[in-house]
Amino acid sequence: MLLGDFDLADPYDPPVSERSKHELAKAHLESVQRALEEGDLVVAITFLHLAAEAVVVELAEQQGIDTQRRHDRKATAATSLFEAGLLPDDLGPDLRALNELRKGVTYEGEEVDLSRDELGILADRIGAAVAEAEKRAS
Amino acid sequence: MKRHQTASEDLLEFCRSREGWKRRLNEHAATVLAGQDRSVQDLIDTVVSRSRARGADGVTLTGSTARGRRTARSDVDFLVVGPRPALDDLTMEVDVRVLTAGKLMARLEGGEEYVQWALRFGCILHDRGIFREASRLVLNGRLWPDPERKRGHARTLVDLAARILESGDREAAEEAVRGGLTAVAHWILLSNRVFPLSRDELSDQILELGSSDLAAALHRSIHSGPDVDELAAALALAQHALELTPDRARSVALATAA
Repeated sequence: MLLGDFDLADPYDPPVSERSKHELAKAHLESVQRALEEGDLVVAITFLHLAAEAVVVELAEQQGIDTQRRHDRKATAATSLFEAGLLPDDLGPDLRALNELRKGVTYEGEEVDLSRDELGILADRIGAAVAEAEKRAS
Repeated sequence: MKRHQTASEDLLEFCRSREGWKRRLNEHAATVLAGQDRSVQDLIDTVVSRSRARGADGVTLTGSTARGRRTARSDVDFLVVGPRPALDDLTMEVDVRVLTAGKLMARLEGGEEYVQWALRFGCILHDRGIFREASRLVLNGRLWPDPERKRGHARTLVDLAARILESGDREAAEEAVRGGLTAVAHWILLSNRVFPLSRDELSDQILELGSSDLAAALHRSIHSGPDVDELAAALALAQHALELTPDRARSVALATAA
């Protein structure tokens, strides 16, 4: 790379260590958007799952909920956060479905049984959660 | 946790006779269940009873729990042939793969590894005959999972792990790199006619083939929290291995990649 040839559109800028989970989730959602445009549904599903988990973990930690790095606990926490009015939608079932889906498509090469439009709707719902977390952080 | 099988014990042979099959089901289930914590036993009971209530043709416990090799990162894995049981209320991490009988047979014939694993090493807890029939298909057809299919999955997982590591999501990167290394190990083992066992046993199996660097990276990824540099090095190792033939990947070249 030539000196000064920086990619200012890099969603993962600034450096990782300075970013909160909701910023990370926002960057993951940009990866989802790009993957959907390119038709790469495996990448889209993977980063959708990561984005949803990141935002749920941030909000859960703010409430003193330890999700212990476990996917099931993150899904359960998502439902609790929704019931407490801290998330605009219940992402619990979405997290469970995305976790199943990403394991199937990546570990066993299963067909993606969701359309681009359906993944786009999920991305919007997770985006709304990220916006909520951003609002709370500001 | 008690070990209940020798490392290489393959249970397919029991399907040859009805009596042998019944013995497998009863003795294996009793031994596996006796080796579990109470909470895991209760969870297994719940999954089996709810699956049966929904009319499942078969339920088998798979993965590290079936092998008596649970780690701190293990969930409890099942293969259910029939409708999906409702399990969202359970407090432990459960992973249930649901297939129809037709899909189970098609996947065996298509070279999928997981379904064969379930028959060879899984703890069958309910069978209306589908698992015995499937085992006979594997045995009589001398079916073996397709290593090239596994290499394809490994490539996908390793590429994804690289993207996730680059994203800076440290926690996710750890899981993704572990998944990538595991898939590479599966590819190498299957290519060398060794059936991969549970994740915790893979590093020993890979070591026996001569891939000491990959074995060490796998072991670290399961039992310790590698830092970002270690994750990057492990990923480079996995990427390098995937460019080699299985025979070279298992011995010489891996040692030069780290």
